[in-house]
Amino acid sequence: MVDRWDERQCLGYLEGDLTPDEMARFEQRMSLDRKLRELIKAMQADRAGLRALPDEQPPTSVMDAVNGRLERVMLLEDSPSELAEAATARRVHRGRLLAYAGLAAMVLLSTGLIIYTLTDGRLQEQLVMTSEQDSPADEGAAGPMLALKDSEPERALSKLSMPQSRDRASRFEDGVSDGIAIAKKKEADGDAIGESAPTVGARVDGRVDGHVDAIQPGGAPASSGGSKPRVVIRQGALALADTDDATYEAGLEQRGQAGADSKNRLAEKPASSVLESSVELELFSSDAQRSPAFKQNNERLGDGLDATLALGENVGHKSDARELKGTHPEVREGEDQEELLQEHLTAWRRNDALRRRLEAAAWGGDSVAAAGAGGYVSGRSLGGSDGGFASLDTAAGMTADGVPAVRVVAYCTNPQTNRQSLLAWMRIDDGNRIDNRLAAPAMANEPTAAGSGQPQIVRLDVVVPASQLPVLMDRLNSLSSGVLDWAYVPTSPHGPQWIAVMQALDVLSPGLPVYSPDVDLALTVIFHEAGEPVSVASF
Amino acid sequence: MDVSEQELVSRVTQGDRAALGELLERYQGRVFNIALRMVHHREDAAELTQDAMLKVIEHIGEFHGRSKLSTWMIRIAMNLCISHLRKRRLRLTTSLDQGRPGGGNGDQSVALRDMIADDREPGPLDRVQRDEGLAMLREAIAQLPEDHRAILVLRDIDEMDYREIGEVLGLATGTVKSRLFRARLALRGQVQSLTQRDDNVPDGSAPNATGKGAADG
Repeated sequence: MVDRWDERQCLGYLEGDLTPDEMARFEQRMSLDRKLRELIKAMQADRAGLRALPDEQPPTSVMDAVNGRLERVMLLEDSPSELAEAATARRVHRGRLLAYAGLAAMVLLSTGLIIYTLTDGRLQEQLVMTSEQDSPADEGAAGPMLALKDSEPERALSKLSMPQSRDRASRFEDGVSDGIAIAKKKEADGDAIGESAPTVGARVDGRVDGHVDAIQPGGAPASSGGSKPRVVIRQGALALADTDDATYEAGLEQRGQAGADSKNRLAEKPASSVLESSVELELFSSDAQRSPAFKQNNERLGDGLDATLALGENVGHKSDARELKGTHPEVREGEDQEELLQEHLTAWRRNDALRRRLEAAAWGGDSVAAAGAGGYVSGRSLGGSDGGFASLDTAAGMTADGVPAVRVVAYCTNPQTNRQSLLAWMRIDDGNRIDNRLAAPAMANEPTAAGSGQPQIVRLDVVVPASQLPVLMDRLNSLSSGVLDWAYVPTSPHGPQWIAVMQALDVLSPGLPVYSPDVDLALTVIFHEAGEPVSVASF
Repeated sequence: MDVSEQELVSRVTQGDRAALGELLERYQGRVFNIALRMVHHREDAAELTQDAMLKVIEHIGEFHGRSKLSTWMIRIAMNLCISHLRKRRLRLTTSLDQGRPGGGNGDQSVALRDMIADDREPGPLDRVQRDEGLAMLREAIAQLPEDHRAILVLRDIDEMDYREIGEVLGLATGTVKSRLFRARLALRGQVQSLTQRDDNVPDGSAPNATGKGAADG
């Protein structure tokens, strides 16, 4: 009803922004419109009331802690920025150590090559190559690096004569190129080099999914007894592989597994039949939702603020971010991430092949699965303190009706409290703005095609404490209306909670597709009825 | 930029910790009151204020003076507040006891309101609550979505101008105006709902929680 009044005029009158002429006209209009007059009067009262709320004094404890921190900084004789520089310096120092280690490995490898040329040509296959080009994991690498599979030179040298290394090389050959494997930067319990890839989700179904950037002649052909062609492989989106954060590594490994599982399941399904993209299709394709009112509502819900905030809240550990930022351009802090998303979107729009791969694989999985789709997707994780673990993953893709979108899944976990997750969808509108809508609560005001005031699509993100699990199962079992199209159970598919939820879902809808990245027990369900998503229940 | 603030910032960037302490002391009350109006919980507001201050200490080297320092600080605080509210809302959705089958998303808003009400602890705010109108306003604003709440707090509590609000919230001025008016409408709707609840529903049935009714005048 208010729409029939000019918002700008109303606000201008309330805020005193109108010129005298405008104000006179508006007052004349108010005199003729009782509802407008009453509304403006009430809003003026609200405004005055808010401004009359008395200020409160903060507790003294606030500044105690702040001053304590300042004193510590002063005692260290480091300014905050110097502290940050010190952190970066430590990172650089680690990078140098890695470079030195690589150099040492090259020397040792050269020695090995000499030995090799003087002894047995078969050993050549056990050498691995990597490139300096663009791999975020290649921190500290200054140029093409010929490395051994193990970072420990002695062990690596000893492996030169171990026949089982041939098996590993052979496995890898199937996926990439004869006799070539990807060198890893980090020690991983002596695993074969190619086998480190799943940790970052780049290996799927026994195949390393990287970009083959170039095939460079590496000297004389193998048949002539010279070295083999060098295939330079760039792994995508591996920034997270090099955080040096044990907490993160553990989490990544788990999520890598969950992501791979998820992706494998998704690979068996046509992208159009599953995943949240179908939700987005419904959300953004109806005429009502393309109406001016909807767009206006979008503006209220979205744009930069929410995007920044949704991202920013998961980058509380700024020092970690700053360390990473120094070496990995993919890792940004706070507000920068909005820009990052825009960059990703731009890059994505320019790359149809990548878009198709993302469409096929990114939706519904977590970032690990998405990273496996081609490395465009940026995932980042900031190791937390207090035993917690915070991460932020983004995936770019396109909704089924061609609306570009960025999916953001943020996990904030803290074993000492309840684990939490935040799911945010960010749609890129025609103006290339990021329109963020948090899952359920923010949708409460969404207009619907039916004009019911309630969204037709209900997306339920229910994080369930273990103690409440029986209740959840009861609720699931009690659902009878609608057809459960698929379920998104964002919990690690390894624990009793997941099994219990699966049992409940089996009762509700046998054979239901379930996708489960690794967060605490949570449930996202979308109900469809007669091909249309319907609002069914909340838990 | 305010000259004295500029001087302080200049001293801080040169490593003057005493100046940094003075800056933080100067703004703590303002930050605290913004946080308090955002989260409506004194202890949480104090914690958020403290967190914001610590972030300022940590990141003061990144402040480039493109905006007022106070605006930058409030932006940090506001981000923390909204993040806090979202986490709190997320915790609410975990509560199966508060959910009702068939309720849809609106139920979650109701749960949020209940939770906010439950969260309140007796404190200095209680002294003010004797003023029924102000108490109702506080309750109403606590039920608004974060973006509406943020813009009203910045405009009416902190009395920022449109440009400053835009800097804090990362919005264009036009968007600030549009959102501010809608926030005022939503607040009005909440006040009306609360009034009707108090007048007509003695058993405490839940009023409209979405604020959409405001637009209907």
